[in-house]
Formats: sequence, structure tokens, C-alpha cells
Amino acid sequence: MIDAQTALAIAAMAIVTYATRIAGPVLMRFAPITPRIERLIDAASQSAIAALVASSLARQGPREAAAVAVAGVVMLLTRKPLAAMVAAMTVAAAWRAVL
Amino acid sequence: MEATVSRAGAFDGAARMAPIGAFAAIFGAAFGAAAIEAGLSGWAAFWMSATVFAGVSQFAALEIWADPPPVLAIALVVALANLRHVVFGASLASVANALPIGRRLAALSVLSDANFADVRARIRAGSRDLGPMVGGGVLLWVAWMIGTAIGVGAGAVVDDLGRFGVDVVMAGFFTALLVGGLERPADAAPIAAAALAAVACVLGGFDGAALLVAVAAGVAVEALRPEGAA
Repeated sequence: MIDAQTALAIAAMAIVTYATRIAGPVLMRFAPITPRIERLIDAASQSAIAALVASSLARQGPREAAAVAVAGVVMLLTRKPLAAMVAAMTVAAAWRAVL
Repeated sequence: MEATVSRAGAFDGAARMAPIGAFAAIFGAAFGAAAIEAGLSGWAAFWMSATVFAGVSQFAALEIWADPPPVLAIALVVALANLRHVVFGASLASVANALPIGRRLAALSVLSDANFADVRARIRAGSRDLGPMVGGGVLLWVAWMIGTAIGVGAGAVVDDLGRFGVDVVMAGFFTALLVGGLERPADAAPIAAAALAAVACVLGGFDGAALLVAVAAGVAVEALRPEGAA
């Protein structure tokens, strides 16, 4: 069972999170969509993704960094994200098995 | 310009998210187990995963969970943890806002990191279809719910994600798409600036600021690049 206060907390979390999901397109209805603004917003989104990866690597160690580096190289060579993911997993699993 | 949410696109997106779904299920099991540990009932954890569907923010909420839960503090922590959605949504705006309002609001309900990165790459290549985001998002949601249910019932089933390297799937996927999006080496400049800023924040003990500082750094570098370089 869920008590009222817990239900309220979960509802608040759901509403706040949904608001973050729709806020971008809503706000952009009021912004002039020039090529330059589109470019900067795209750079912001790519920066946010780079920050997700980089901050998790900074909290972890050489094993994860090696796996990500190999993923980058495999992507450059093959242009296939799946191949890059499999390569990263292989490096991470092998590192754990050997060390 | 027209935009769509196509069924074919949804299936493609779901297929591409399948490996990430495996990670989401295991992460979900860890969340379910942690929620029980934090004093939530199984149903509370289940409904939270179903309606919030944002793992990092759900873990952040558990950190300050109490009986009774501090609603405002939890809402604030969750908003901050999910702020990146605003940026992702903004970058999809030109396609999303071309959809009828009902479809737009429904499609955005499953916006998350991996399916955003996936659909963004397609849109850059000329697509106007949010189907991949919806299909990928539904797959991730189902995986997240299965994981949460397992975690609630059986605890964290996999205590060592690292043995099979599953812990690096997400980072590997993001890296692949970041690299795949580079049309010339100079395109890496804003991404590199953001990554360095994030690392500096984490190593300097300002974890909470990492995202905002990184986005500011990336946008600043992009703004300084000559017009027409993109």
C-alpha cells in the first residue's frame, strides 16, 4: 500500500520530470529559430551528453576510460554504434577478467 | 515542415535500444532493491519507476527519502537531476513542434538520454520522424519496469555488472554517437570543452555543477567558432 504523503511525493516527481521533458519544445516556441540558435542548442545537447560520459569516467577509473576510448576508435573505423558498444563491453569484461 | 511519428521508425529505434535495454533492466533492478532498502513499499517503487522513468533522479530522491517524504525537497532534487531533458527537448523542438499537440505531448513523455541521442543523430541526417525516440523510449520503459519489479521482489540480481562489461554499454553508445556526429575534426572542440569542464568539476568536488558548467563551456566554444562552420 502507498500512504498519501508517499503518493504525493511520487506524483510531484512525475510532474516535475514530465515538465522537464516538455519544457524544451515549449520554450522554443518563444525563441526565434535561426540557424545560429539551432547550432548553439545542438551544441548544448551534445555537451550535456559528453558531460554524462566524462563525469562518469572521472568518478571511475582506467578500465572504463579504456572501454570508452576503444568505443570511439571502433566507431571511427566502422561507423556502427553497435560495434562500438560491443567493443567497449569486451574491453571492460576482459579488463575485469585479467586484473 | 511536416513531422511524423512512424511505426517503422519506432521499431527501428526499439531495435537500436535493445542493448541499452539490457542495461536499463539491470539498473532498474538495482533501483528496486535500493528503494526497498530506503523504506519504500514495492508498489511505491513500481509506481515511481512507471511515472517518473528517469533513473538517476530516482536514485537521487532515495538519498533524501524519509518517512514521511519531504515532497518539496524531493521535487527540487528531481528537477535538477532532470534539467538536461530541457536541453534535449529544445534541440528536438523544430521537429516536435511540427507534430499535433497530442502526439507531441505523448512522444515527449518517453524522452530520455539514449533515445534522444539516437533520434538526434537521425534528425541531423535529415529525418523528421520522432518514431525512433518513441519506440526506443517504450523499449527502455518496459526494460526499466521489468528491472524495477525484479529488484523489488528479488533484490539486485546482478551485483557485479562489470563482469560482462554491461556497465559501460551506455557510455560506449554515447561515445559512438558523439564520434559519429563529427563531420570534421574541428567539430570535436565544443564536445571536448564540455568533457574537460565536467571532469574538472567532478575532480574538484563540484559534482552537482558538472552538467551546467559543461554545457556552458560547450556552448561558449561553439559560439566562438566562425559562422558557417557547422
